Amino acid sequence: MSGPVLDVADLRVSYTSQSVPATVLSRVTITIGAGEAVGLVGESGCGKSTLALAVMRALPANGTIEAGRIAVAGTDVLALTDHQLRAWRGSAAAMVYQDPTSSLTPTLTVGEQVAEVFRYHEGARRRAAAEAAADILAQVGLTPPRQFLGRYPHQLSGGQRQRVVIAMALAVRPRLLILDEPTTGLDATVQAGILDLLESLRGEFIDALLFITHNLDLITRTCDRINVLYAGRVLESGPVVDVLTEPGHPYTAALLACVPRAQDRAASVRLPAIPGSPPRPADMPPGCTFAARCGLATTACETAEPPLGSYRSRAPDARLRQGALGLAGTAGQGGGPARPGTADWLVRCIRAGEPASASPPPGSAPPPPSTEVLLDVHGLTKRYADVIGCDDVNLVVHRNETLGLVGESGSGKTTVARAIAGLAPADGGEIRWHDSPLAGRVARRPRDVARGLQLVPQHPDTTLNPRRRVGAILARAVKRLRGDLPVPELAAAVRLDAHHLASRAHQLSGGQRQRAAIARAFAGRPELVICDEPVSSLDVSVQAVILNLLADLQAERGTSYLFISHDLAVVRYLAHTVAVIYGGRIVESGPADQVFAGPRHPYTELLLTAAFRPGAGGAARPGAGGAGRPGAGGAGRPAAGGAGRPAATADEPGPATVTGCVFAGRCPVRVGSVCETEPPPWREPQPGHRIRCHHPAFAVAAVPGIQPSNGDTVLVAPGDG
Amino acid sequence: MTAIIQADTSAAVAGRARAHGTLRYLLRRPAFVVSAAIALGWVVVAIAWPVLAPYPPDQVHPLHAFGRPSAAHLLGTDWLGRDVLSRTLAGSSSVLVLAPASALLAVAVGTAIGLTAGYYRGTVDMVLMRITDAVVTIPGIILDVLVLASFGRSELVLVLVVAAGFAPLVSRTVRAAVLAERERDYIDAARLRQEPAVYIMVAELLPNVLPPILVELTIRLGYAVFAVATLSFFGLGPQQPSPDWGLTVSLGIQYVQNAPWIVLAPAAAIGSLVVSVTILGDEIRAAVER
Amino acid sequence: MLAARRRPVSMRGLRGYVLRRMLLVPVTLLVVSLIVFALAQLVPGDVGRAILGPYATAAQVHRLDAQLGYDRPLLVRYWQWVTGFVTGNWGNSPVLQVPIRSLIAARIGNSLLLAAVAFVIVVPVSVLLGVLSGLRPGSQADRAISVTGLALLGLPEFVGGTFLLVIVGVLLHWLPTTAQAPPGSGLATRLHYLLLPALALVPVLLGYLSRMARAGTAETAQAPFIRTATLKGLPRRVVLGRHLLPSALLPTLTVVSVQVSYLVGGLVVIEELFNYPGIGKLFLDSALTHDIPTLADITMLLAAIYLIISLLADIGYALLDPRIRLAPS
Repeated sequence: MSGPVLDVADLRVSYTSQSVPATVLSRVTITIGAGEAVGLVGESGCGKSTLALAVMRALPANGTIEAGRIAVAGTDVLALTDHQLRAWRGSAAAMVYQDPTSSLTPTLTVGEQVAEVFRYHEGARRRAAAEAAADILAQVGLTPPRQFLGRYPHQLSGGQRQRVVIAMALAVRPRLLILDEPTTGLDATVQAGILDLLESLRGEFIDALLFITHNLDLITRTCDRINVLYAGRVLESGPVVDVLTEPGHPYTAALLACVPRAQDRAASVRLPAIPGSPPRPADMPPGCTFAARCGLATTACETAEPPLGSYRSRAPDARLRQGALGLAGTAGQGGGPARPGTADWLVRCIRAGEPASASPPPGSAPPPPSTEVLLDVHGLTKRYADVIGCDDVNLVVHRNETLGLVGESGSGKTTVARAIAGLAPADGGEIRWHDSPLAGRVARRPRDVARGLQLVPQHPDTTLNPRRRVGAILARAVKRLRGDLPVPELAAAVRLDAHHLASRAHQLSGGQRQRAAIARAFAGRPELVICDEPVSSLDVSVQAVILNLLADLQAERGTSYLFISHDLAVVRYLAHTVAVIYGGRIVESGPADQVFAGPRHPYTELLLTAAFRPGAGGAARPGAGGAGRPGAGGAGRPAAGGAGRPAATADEPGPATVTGCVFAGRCPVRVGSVCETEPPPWREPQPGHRIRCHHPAFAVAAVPGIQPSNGDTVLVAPGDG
Repeated sequence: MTAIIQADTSAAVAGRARAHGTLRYLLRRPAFVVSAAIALGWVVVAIAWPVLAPYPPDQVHPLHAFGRPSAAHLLGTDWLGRDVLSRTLAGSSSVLVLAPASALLAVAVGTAIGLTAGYYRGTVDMVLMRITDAVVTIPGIILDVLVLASFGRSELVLVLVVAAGFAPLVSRTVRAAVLAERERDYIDAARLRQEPAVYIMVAELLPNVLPPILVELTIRLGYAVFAVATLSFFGLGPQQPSPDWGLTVSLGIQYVQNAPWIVLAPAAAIGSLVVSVTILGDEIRAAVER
Repeated sequence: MLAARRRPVSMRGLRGYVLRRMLLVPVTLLVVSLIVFALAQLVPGDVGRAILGPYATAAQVHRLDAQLGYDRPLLVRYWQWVTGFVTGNWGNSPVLQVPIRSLIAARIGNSLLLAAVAFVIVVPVSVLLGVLSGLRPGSQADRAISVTGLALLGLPEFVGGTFLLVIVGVLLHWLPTTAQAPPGSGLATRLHYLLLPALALVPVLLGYLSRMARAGTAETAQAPFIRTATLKGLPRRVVLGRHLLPSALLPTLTVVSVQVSYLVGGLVVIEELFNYPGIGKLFLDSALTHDIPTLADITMLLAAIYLIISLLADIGYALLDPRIRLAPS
């Protein structure tokens, strides 16, 4: 093996803001060998994107590389002249980053943008470049490529755009490909398609890969080695399987632990959360950057920053595995310097590998859901100008119950939430509250409904009025909602103290703001709280704190939740019952355990496979995926639509104006033309577990007589399939 | 827990520093300091000109008409022999009353319209915006002249009409800010508490759209000076024998071949005021949007 | 001023957009006519008195009112005025006793020529300065261009015009100080005479347009797609010419209508300052002689011109921007 493709050594990068420099990366060393895929994982603000930009020498104007070395395939990147740099970018190293919506030039066709790479790097003539562009588009699954060459970016879906960006990056076969959060913002199923694509391109098209993400799951799927970045430092580096099975650094261990596991339920356990938040670049502690949040920290941790030392797992099976892989000899226990380009396992901790804490803390069990119906939504329908927001949605929430509403972006889940809350009234259907009908607009509802039905919104950055102190916001909520708890006690219930009450939103972290929003919703002892993706924009470690809090509040007060999320792991942890929404229609609903155990609607199946891929997560994330396909009628892997290549053309929810099944266009187990022409029937494979599908596998216990209110006729012909 | 508190304390300090920082940032900008000094200087002159002017501004000396700049008359004399320097100093008072009055009125009215249209949207918004569109369609100066010609020339009408021309522009800015702001989750929370609309507009929205309103005020001030001076130049503002700058330029321009100093002095005065106010407005905008 | 750049939002594809945009013109014009009518015809009360002055007898005033139609009901008067305006039947100027149409027709050419000369000077210079400035935000050159542009933007035309007149015309004798060439001169001579007034129109437009171009350039330079293009290893000229400038300068097109608005105001001032027989001078003279019908018709005409130019600008934008041109219908 020749030298490493990427060799970053002792890199230090700082940003200057208002003439105050702050170090965002410190002593970062990362090597990637030929053919190797290396993951870089970290929470927001840890400096992972800065690293990518530094490698491409594309730091913003206020960023400086202060020390260290960056070499790609032996070329000293920092020594390149501007002219050399231009030729080097795109041909030796290429980068794909987040936000495919704005990473393509809006005024040029896709074909022109891809062809440019060939024209300026290989001097190809216009026609030859266009041919080459068509070839590479086909390689990334945009088939037939002729159809895509002449399109403009706005005519493509998010997933398709990201494929175009990948095509441009790979066009002239760079040695190093950097992917910076390439699937963030895409739906789980689209994300799965992109990951499949990357997998299929490894080897032939992709040589060395640096994969940057906040999502540990993605690393396990794509990478051989992992680097864990925290507050600008690499805290742990090693083979993916080893690090994720037996993490050496307490931070890695804590990160892994705070994601809900398959068997975790809010009724019995709380998630092991990481207290506090990462230090800001401006005031880094002198010792270990994680010490302040670490359960194992000693005084030694707080005074001196530990070195990145070699590590071998204390667990015998892991050592065995290392031995079996023939890697054990390369690193002595706590011994000498690491050799680049090998599978060394390095940890920056003096107490590496010590067990952090015992099993997850038990939670006080909430009272079991009662049979008393709190909210009954029937036939809820809303149309926007030319899109269906939601169509004939039926939901029931009982007292003390959590209903998880699961769907991808654009599925209509937020439309449902806002209609129930009375913020954007539906066009049709009925909302019953305590068995009496509810006005569409919140302003027309009785005062005690406003008190009993509250909302925790999605965006921690806009949830609080930035001009007001948290204490004043809560006081107003208590006053308007006639709460019985004084503000300090209300704050204490969400673990906010007097100091937070005197702060304004911008002085709080995302998690603290979300806690204040929860306190505001609970000001008047609500009976039902709608949680609209309350943790989706928070880092994993903060997510756990919020989920625990919601579980505790339910246990203490018996509040019901309508919990809206795209994250199946989170829903499985919190929800008693689950409804899956696609294209504005509920396609499956039932008790959470039954929905996750199967049989499942093909769409639910697709979501689950995308989220918990069999085998990929190893012991860290066993998932429920892969277990059951819809009865006997399962067809191949649902994520792949066409022949081998993921079907990119249909990778996002289509227009919702359909007469048949909304999912027919993407369905891997489509029965036939009936899926397009006839609305699917509700089937009930288990009592209370209902699936809306034509597939005969569900026909065992079909439920006749359920008539969608929008005029659809349910056909439950026995010989349906 | 100590970690949280430490982190938050530093954040709180940063927050306070940001508010103070805007002023400190501005004071470090030479463009701001120079233009603020000039504008402030004219405010002082507008108040204290009776003390500063070497001659009474309307003291007529027919024998000294068209006097070149000299030791006795630093900027020369005009067609009636009046001292140009004294008249230029005294001429500051009319524009420095009329322009701020118009700008303040425009921003007050425009804010009210913008808040209402942005919060209610729907029909209210549509009607208000159609009227606004129509007013914007008529070039400002044309509208001003039309009204002053039909209502008669008075300084009150002048203030009202300049304000009426600007208010739709202000209301558009405020409306855009409100439309963005009302989509935020804290407004949903207020609606879920069944807060009255007036409370949401005044207590929740208004404080959050203050920065663009402040920017509008400073920018409109520059434009008000522009409009008031131009209308005076048309003879539709203060009338003779007022030493008003625009009026003086329009009367003196016929002597420009032989006595250019008569128009140069008031023109330079308007130029320095309007440019300093415009730059001031832009500096404040940049600082607020920073 | 630097009004939020308007980007037409497409709902139902290009054709729907253009249709809706075109429908907006008569609607807005209708509202304008109501405003103009209210301001010009309702409030003054006694038009005859205003025209004839304080020494006319009540009978004379009454006769003039009747002759001008001011004794008829409001709705009738509004209807007659609007239909008259639309059909080109603009009536006589009560002050000058000549058809308003011929008054305007004799002058509008002069104004258009003056405006055209100013535009030809302004557009290339300001776009060049704005792009240069926007490519290096915060640099010395950018600050100099920005502050100068801002100063020019705030300077009333009659002030800048006075300086130009005194310095270039009176002191340096580089250009004639009157705007009108001697009768019978060729186009070259006419343009030579027009240069000074056109230059006096330039500053405000230059300030505005260069700042728009700068803002568009600086903002687009920050866009992720520019980073994509740079990291693809494209030469800088390709990044600028193919990727940056089309997106950066498109929005500037939509503010052409604002330019027209400034230009009209400027024409009134400059034509007055240089005593140039254009439509602006006619407008101001009508204002000073209380010739309200002429004022009202000129205002309507200018509003219609403004609306048509901004319509053309928006349609041009829609045609040039694929996001609107190819929006799904």
